[in-house]
Amino acid sequence: MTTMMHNAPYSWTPNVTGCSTGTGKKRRTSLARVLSAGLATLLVMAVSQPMTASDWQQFRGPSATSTAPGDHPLPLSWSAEAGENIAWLADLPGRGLSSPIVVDGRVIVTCSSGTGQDRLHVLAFDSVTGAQLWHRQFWATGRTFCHPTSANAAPTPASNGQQIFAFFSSNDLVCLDLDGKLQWIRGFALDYSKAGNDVGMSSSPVVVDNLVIIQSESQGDSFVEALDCCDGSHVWHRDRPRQANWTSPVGLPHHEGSQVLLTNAQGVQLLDAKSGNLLWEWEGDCGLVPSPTCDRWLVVPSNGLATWKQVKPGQFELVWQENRLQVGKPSPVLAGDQVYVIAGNVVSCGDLSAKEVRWKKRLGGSFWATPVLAGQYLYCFNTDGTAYVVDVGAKGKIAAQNELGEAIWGSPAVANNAIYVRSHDHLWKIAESGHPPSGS
Amino acid sequence: MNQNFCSSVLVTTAIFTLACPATPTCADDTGDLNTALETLRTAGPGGSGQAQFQTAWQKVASSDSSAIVTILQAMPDSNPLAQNWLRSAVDTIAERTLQSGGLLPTVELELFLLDDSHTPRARRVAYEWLVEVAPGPTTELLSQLLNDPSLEIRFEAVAQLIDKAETIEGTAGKIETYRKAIAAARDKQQIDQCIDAIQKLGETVDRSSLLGFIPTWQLIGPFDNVGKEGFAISYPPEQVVDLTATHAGKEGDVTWRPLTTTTDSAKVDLNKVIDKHMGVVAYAWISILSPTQQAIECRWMTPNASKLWVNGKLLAEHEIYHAASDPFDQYKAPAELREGPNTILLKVCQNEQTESWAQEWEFQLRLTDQLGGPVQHLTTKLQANP
Repeated sequence: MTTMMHNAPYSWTPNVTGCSTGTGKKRRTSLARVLSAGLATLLVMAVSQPMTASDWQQFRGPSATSTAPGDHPLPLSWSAEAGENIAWLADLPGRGLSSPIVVDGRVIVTCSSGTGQDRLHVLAFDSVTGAQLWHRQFWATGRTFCHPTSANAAPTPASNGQQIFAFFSSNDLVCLDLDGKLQWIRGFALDYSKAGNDVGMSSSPVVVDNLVIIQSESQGDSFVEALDCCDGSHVWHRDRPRQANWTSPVGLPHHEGSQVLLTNAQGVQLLDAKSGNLLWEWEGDCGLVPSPTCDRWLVVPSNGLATWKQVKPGQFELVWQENRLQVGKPSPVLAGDQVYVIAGNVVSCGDLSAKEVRWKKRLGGSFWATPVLAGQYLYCFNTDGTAYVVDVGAKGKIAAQNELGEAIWGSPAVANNAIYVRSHDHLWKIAESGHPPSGS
Repeated sequence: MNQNFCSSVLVTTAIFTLACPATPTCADDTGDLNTALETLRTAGPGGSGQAQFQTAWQKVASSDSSAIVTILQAMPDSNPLAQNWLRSAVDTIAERTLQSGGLLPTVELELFLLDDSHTPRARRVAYEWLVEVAPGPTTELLSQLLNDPSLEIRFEAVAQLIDKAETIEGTAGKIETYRKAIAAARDKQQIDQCIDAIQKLGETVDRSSLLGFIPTWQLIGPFDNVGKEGFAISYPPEQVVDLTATHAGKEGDVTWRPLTTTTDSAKVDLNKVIDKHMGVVAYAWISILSPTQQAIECRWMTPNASKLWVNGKLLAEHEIYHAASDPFDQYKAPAELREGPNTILLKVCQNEQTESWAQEWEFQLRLTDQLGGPVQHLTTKLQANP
């Protein structure tokens, strides 16, 4: 098995993140202003595009529901061994449970390596060719202990289409532009000396408006903090209970005031994204690994699944608590009125409007990666490297079963009519009519 | 800016001025580069000044490859954020150079690597780029770097020596090579790999001593930790250690008792020594005779909440219960040993969790130098000095 050659042309472009530099002031620089400065027009346009329909810029996709928007004809079957529908694969320099994200033609992946998991990696690959575009490395500044099955690179990076925010279990947060140029870096274990989850923290950052929001909860210093995307400066901070928690925040953008949703052992909290003020909360025993999912409905793993109807932005009405919809490690997938959850190796479908459990299907193996739904197919990757393609339109019939041969712990990304999925060692692009990778 | 850094930058700048006068970093921009480097060296916690660092980084990262050694020389020893800013600039330059068909300054990088007066992490960056462009010649250098102050470089050198040991014919030569690797190794897995190999060849190894574990302790307990409140309570051993005293414990009077561990991990299982309890506190005490005043590190593992005192001074406290999976050297605290007798007191608190994985009540402690090697010529005493 070989990786693609690192032969992508390198372009040294000016800073076009929409943030000013050098003054310390937080002001936006419009595209027109950048162009008027006489910078290379084509290059600027190439790297300053906002989110495109084919991007997958955060953990669980554009709406954090694990549902691919639009029509994404994806392959039902593939073979890593024969190269069938494998467009490319790339070697990775370290372990990771983080998902790939796809931003403007780049697939971004984080890894961690070293005997102490103290080397942090952020890599970008060309989404078409698989060529490695750049690779940045950093030393962890916080605690790097984690469970043997986990890695420092457990949180999925996030992007606003111009910047990448790579967070690690060691509480290091790195901001790069799409060309790999370092924008800013924060080491929160240096700011909060008791921060650290020695099992490995996996909470993924979320970008809301011009804020990147991180949630770091352990038996030590625990907090949720919002930073200015442009310079990483502190905007607001809330202390959180000192209890280990692996869930991720969910951003709820809204023109009348964006919000961020959090869960922990105490319940659900809805914060104003701009101020961090608490807007609403529900007290209950919530899961500490699977994250909440919110669209028209809010579903929260809580002794099964608790469901709220979002009456209007930020207002929730508890409508259903169903202990037959048990949630294991993967987070719930939400598509319209349908919710899909995995517990153990059983995938279940619930109809939130009818308040009914529609069907259950036993798969095989153990699941940590949150599945993704594309069209009528739910792609479920387990830790044996087996991917079950479940037809949710046919009551969970298994449409295909594919082997990658390596444990999959991170959720896949879907973009450009392709699935991007990573193991500890490799990153695959799975797409129709993919060609076997050269040399394999 | 410290003087050594100024001097080294000037020397390097002079070399490059002669060698490549037409490059951007060799002429007027040198002053700007030095200013930018000095800015990045001040990067610190708290997040302030990031825009300033970003501008400085752009300046540094836009340099050509002739500036790489200058940038590495600017890397400070003990500021990880500054190290990250500078390493990413070097990586950016090197990557851009190679992708455009250029060359890295391999001769200068090799000289930099072999001079262990430079910052270990900076030398590691030099090593990695040398491996990228010239893997064969670079790995040949590793035999000179077996006791390197960079743990990352040392790891590679030890790995190479272990590989060599496996190919040696003859038991004596193998064992000698494995022992040489153990002496240099600071990575637990490498040490254990060598120990296993030596034992399979028929020789014994005192693993506990090799790693610097303390095998003997005076222990007392249990005191009350119901509701985890005992972590903050200062029980009598925190006031004064009187090995002949009897104190009121959680379930009656308690007294000090000596223990010498017999396992190669020197782990003290308090559930066995004091009995199985939940919601309890125990203390472990030992006297250490040091031949000289010296700076050391205390490194310990416990799945329980703990506090550590050396010579009566509280050095660290961690109110963390059952949070780690592979906790070797889970906690570290720098300490100063004085010449003669010193005391170590460790408080180990068990909570009341009922899960099967939360029943351990144990600890393991070793004394090392800053790189994790065992402190030599220490003597443990189970009695207090008069």
